[in-house]
Amino acid sequence: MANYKEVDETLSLVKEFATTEQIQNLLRTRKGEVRITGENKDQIVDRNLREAIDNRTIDIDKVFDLIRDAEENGNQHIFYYKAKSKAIADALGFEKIAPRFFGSNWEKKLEEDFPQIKLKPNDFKVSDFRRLKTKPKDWILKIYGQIIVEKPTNEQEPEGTTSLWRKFDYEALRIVLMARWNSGPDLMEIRVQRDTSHKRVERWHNIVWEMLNPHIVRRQFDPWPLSKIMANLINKHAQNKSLYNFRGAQLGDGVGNQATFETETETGDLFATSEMTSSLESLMKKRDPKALVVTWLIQKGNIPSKELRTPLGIKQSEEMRKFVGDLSNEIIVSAHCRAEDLDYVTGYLRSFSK
Amino acid sequence: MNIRALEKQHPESRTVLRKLESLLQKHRPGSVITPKELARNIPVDAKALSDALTLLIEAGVLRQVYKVTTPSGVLTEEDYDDPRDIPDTLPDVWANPFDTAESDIVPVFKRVA
Repeated sequence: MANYKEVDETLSLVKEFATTEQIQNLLRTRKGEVRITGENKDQIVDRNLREAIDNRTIDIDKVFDLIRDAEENGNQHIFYYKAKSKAIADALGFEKIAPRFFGSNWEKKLEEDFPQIKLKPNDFKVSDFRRLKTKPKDWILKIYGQIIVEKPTNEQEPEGTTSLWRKFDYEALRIVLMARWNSGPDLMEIRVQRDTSHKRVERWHNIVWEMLNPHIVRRQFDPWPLSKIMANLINKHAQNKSLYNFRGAQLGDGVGNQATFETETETGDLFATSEMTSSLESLMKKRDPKALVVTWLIQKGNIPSKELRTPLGIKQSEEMRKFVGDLSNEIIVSAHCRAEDLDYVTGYLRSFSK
Repeated sequence: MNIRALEKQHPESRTVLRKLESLLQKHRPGSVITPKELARNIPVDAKALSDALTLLIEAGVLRQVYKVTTPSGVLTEEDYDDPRDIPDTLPDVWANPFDTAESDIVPVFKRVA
């Protein structure tokens, strides 16, 4: 990737997705050879990082890793699917699936073609496909999309006494979608960036399946329902107070009535008082929770690297439920985080599924 | 946090600082203290409380930020240093967007260290 031509666009993505601290951490890996500080983020990227790339002190692949870290992990919806059989899971390992997607010459093709930075206007395209360094059977297929949305402005003009014209600007929206094969638990994670419209999120989720087709098809998987996991998280909360707590819970009484519990702030704990604990536990005897907001607390070794909030059991549309059933398989990871942090959460969800 | 040093410099705020220290000990770094919680736990006059909070902000123990009430009445996860930075829509606890123009903005304190 050293001859990569699209440095301008790469740097613009770094500016958009990575924090100043992340960029400076990358520059610090070559301390003494590159400039680290700057007046602002623009200068750190446009001067320091560009110089480091131009004189090859920092490999462009490291810059791509920075973008991957920043745009691929967190601030997204994750839809979980479980492979229906061990044979299907085995066929999804990186070495087996790569030739199906990219032909017999796949190694060369992946080296030459990916990652891609440019967007295809009003369309979606595969922008990256790679194996995970720490788990060689695992892979990520990334899709970039671009759609034009209408954004209201504050400019308006009255027409007569009964109407008003408001100006809307067209805005190009960059979309990042991913399929992440997680071997071991044999889970396919469809990751979709957050958006104010859940219908749009579901449409983007469908686009990932369309892009995987025909090499991987949805009928090879069962949605991985989160209801039992949520019940276990609540039932075992007393033994796991240092691991997680709850910001919210939605429970029913079995005859159609529903109760929603929320803490006043995101750092509160639903089980802080005996009154709330007994209410939650008494409803839990009737039905599994419909939804939970879990805060995963920082553990020794800084994993997760910060408190991570994950609403679980996101309500899905009628159309989506035709495919996944009534039990939601969807979570949201509220903020950007590290790849290890997401795997940590998935690992714990798996352990609470038993 | 070195509250003892602050007490020495500002003996007039000693009592309130002690109460705030005891409240802060129940909060992990990064957690949020709301005006309601302060009122419940530190029933002193508003001026004395405000002075002590200012001392803790200046000492870097607390940071004042702004949050928005969700339609259900709790506070958003997102916070802002300047209320003018609050966007038109924000997600509630369940990630459903709501119109912030219809909501209250609440100053809260975050424990830094």
